[in-house]
Amino acid sequence: MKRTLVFLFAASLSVVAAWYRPGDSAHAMGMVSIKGGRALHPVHLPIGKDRYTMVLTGTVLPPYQGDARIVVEGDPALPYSVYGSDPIVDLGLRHRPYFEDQTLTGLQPRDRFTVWVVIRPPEAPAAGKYNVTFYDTATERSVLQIPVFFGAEEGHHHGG
Amino acid sequence: MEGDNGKPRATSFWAKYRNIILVVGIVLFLPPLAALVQLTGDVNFCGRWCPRMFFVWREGQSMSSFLMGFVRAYMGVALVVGILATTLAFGRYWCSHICPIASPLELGSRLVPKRFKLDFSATPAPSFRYAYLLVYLIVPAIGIGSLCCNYCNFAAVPRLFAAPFSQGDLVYFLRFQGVVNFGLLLFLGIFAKGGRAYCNLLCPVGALDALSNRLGAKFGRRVRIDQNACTNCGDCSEVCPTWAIDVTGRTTINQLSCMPCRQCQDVCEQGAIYYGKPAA
Repeated sequence: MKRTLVFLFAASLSVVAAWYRPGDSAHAMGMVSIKGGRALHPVHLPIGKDRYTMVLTGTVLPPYQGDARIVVEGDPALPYSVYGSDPIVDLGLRHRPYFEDQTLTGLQPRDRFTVWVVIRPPEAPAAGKYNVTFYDTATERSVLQIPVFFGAEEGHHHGG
Repeated sequence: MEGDNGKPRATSFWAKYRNIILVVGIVLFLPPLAALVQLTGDVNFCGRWCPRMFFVWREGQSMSSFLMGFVRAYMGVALVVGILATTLAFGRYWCSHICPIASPLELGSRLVPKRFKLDFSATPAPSFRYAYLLVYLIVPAIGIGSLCCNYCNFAAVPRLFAAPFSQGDLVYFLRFQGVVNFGLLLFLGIFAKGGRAYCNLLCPVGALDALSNRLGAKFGRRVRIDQNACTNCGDCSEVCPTWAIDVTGRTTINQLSCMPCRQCQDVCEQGAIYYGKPAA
């Protein structure tokens, strides 16, 4: 009897935990390419939070290589920070891009990367669309654009 | 080392050097070095090394996309297959000795004074664990949410180690889900008696590994009890971090929770606990 009750309790708790989304964070996926890239997981965030965290993971499609600066664009402009996910002690065993000054540096075909974008709006953003855009620093052309929708629906199910 | 009856206590390499192996696991897999992970050009378990997501089917996913998940996380697949295969034969050595996610929790819990520790041993762990695993597998398939990344111990622990050095890892914890994960690691890890409540209740890899342990118990090497020598004193049950030993009536070991940490063998004055194949 106790086992059954614990099973039911754990299952209920797990379903609620899986279903509940606080909306202050989301995961987006994309592919960087010279043709402008492709967002696989656009981001949906509810309005009303004072801080949003997005983890952006992606892959570089051949033949793109270069450095990509990451910018959050939209009107009105929102204060944001971008952070990389580099090794703490880089043993230099394999090539990997590194993050510096809002820029993913040394991207090569098939590289995978992770960056964290934190938006701290001074007041609740109105419902609308923003973009996290990756600009190739050599050509200033967009190599990936991930749409961020405020207010449309709760944060994406695939968290980070 | 011998017990009262002259039977050998836990003196094998794995038993003797367990603490050192736990630390080696941390160095190999966790920041700041993460030496083994860096061999594949990665930083942590997210990506190629992810051991939790490839076997989860998501609503609307095509078969090719599901199979691509195995390719994307090939190191994670190799890790899980390796864990399950070795467990069949030798028991859960990954969980007890190597897992870099569990090691810091267990080692950390040893630093916490006994009076602050939470005892979860009244909870029937397999019931809780497999309810969690069932929801873990079913809920993404029917599209009402996910437990994969949001409550991932393989994401949270490496970031906990990296957070003092990297803002990218620190921001992981500065959000609702990060706070929840941090709380779970403290509550079910550091402050749990034995430091293994997280492993025992909420780790899907551990849950699969425990199934493999149970399946292989009839032919593989496991921690076992010599009923003729056992006096039912309960010392083993006291030190078991996964509360796998039941001393009500005849002392028994639940192979759905046991891992060969051999702490029970170490405290058994009768030498009644051994690691080996089932008696013929």
